[in-house]
Amino acid sequence: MLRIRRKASVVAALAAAGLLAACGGSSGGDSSSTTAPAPTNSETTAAPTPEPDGDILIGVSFYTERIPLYAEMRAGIEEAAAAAGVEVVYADANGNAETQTNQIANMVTQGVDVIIASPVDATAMVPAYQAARDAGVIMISAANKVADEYEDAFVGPNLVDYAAQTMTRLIEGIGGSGKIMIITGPPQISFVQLQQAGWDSVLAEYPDVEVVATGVVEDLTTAKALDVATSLLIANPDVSAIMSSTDNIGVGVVQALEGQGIDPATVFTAGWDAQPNAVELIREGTYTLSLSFLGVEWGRVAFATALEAAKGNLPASHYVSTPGLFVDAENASVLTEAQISGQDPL
Amino acid sequence: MSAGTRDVGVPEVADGGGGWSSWRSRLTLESMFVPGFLILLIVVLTFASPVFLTGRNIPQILVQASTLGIVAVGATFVIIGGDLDLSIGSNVALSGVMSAVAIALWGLPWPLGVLVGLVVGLIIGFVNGLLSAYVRVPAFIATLGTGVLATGIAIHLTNGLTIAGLPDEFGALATARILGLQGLVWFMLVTFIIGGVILHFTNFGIRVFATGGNRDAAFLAGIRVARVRLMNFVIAGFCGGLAGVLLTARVQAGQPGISTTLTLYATAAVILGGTSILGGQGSMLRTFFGVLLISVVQNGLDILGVAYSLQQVAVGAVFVLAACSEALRRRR
Repeated sequence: MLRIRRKASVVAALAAAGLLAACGGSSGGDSSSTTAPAPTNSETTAAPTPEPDGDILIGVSFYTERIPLYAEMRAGIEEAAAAAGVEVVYADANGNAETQTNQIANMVTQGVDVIIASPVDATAMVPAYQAARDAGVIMISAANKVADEYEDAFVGPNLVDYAAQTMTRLIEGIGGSGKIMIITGPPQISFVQLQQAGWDSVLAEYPDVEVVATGVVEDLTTAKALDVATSLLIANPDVSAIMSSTDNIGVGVVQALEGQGIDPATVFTAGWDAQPNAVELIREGTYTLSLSFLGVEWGRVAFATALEAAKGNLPASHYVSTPGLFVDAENASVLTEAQISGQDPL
Repeated sequence: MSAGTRDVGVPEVADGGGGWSSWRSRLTLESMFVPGFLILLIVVLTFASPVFLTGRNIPQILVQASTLGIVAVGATFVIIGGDLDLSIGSNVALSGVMSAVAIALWGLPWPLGVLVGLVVGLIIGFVNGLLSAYVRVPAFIATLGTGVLATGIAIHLTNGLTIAGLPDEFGALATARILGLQGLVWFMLVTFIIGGVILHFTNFGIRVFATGGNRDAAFLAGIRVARVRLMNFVIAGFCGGLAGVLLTARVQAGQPGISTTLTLYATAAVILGGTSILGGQGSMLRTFFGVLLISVVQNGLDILGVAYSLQQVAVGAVFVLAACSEALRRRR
């Protein structure tokens, strides 16, 4: 048994070493040195210490890479960083504020110039932001945010405005009145809160629209959404529309409608992210509306903003806006997957 | 042989019980607590919602219980055997993702994709068993590690994205109806029956109880304790793989973020049902009731439109209930 244990220890040590080496190798950027594009839609102002691109180190701390949008953003950042020859270190907070706090602290220790973060929690992440800024690191939020005064800039679309637009399209799609259902991600996530604010602002203008049921899909997966939507549909089979936080949920909604013998084409269904399987359902006519945030392009803009900030050029406006693209039956058939993800221009 | 609780300090071959007096002796407050609570809950929900106890909702409750039920069967073996498996949810995610990758990206026929998912589950179970039983890493550490590893691989393989484009035949595995119930439900019921037979009516089952009850005594009685523990993890791994494949078939998509809470719910279902967290006691039937209780609570709260925050309170209360009932059992 002792021999087996020794062998196992050696194997475990080698495996751990290999794993660490592999992880280390994947976090670095390309070594070629070109200039990254400047922020596409923001002016820049002068800030203290310019650095050559090769000396710049940028940290990225995502909410969780389990959400497809972040994978797209990462692709955009990787692409832009490779072109600029800038090293980027990545971290996945996995939805945990403590994990993200540690990751940001570690990035500060590593000597990053700028951190692009998608804060897990608008309040809990403030101390980590403050500590990083006190250490001279520029904090740029993307996708999620903390209060303006605790961050140097925010890169992303106006989520409240897009949520309002999405709800407006949904309500107009059912003729301005009817029973609707809303299924969201966990309410503690800031994008869900911003969505809700946008939806509520529009719902207040349509008294003939009744929200008959709301549900929460805590893990944002289709499987859980299918269960939640089915339960809600059993209690409320006569809804005209169902709004979802994301397409992962929306696809589950469509499956739940089919499972309950309701033709999905007769119910207005909407969500965000424009994932390929959701776009396919739009093309088939069973899912009505999605919104792409052109994640790859969003990542490029976030990187460009961070790079300029590292050079001392903070954006003139705190909000660096990125575009969104509604996908529906009219344009789904002509748009390519690369265009919808923001990889290719529209 | 007993279909109820065993308390095995030393191995036994059979309990020799039979007849009405034997059954009456098993109908203790402890054994009837969860079924009784379940019936009470169903009565309350039936009065609270006109759609709860209907032909549309009952099959739905069973569907919602299916994935949890399948993994809970495996977890019952592991927990009665005196171990804990914290990799259940990650196993389901990776197995599901791998079957989706095999079918949608590698172009394998869907039956082979199913096989890939099952093999992944078996491998995870085997590694868990190897680490816990032979390398003697504490099970909760070993399975925590393999769980994190599996989650990482699932995210890496998919880049966080959903793998879609799966054939309808694959989906039918979970959704095709037989006698009015979806395939997923039948898989759960068959898994429970097979698991129950193995646990309560075979020599292996006796060894599982003996191993969990007192490892030293079991070893002295000639039971290969490490092999029994390994097999428990392999069974749990297979159940995780099966659940992952069926969940992927049900939603026709492989998602790396799936089943993050399944480990907690599966363990709670087993403990709530009456299986001792310390091992050596338990029953497959009780696990079934534990699974049903959790599923009825979740379904009922959704149907009643209870706010998410209060749903969390209710589910948390059920888990506390599980912990209390376990503590009371230990005190007896």
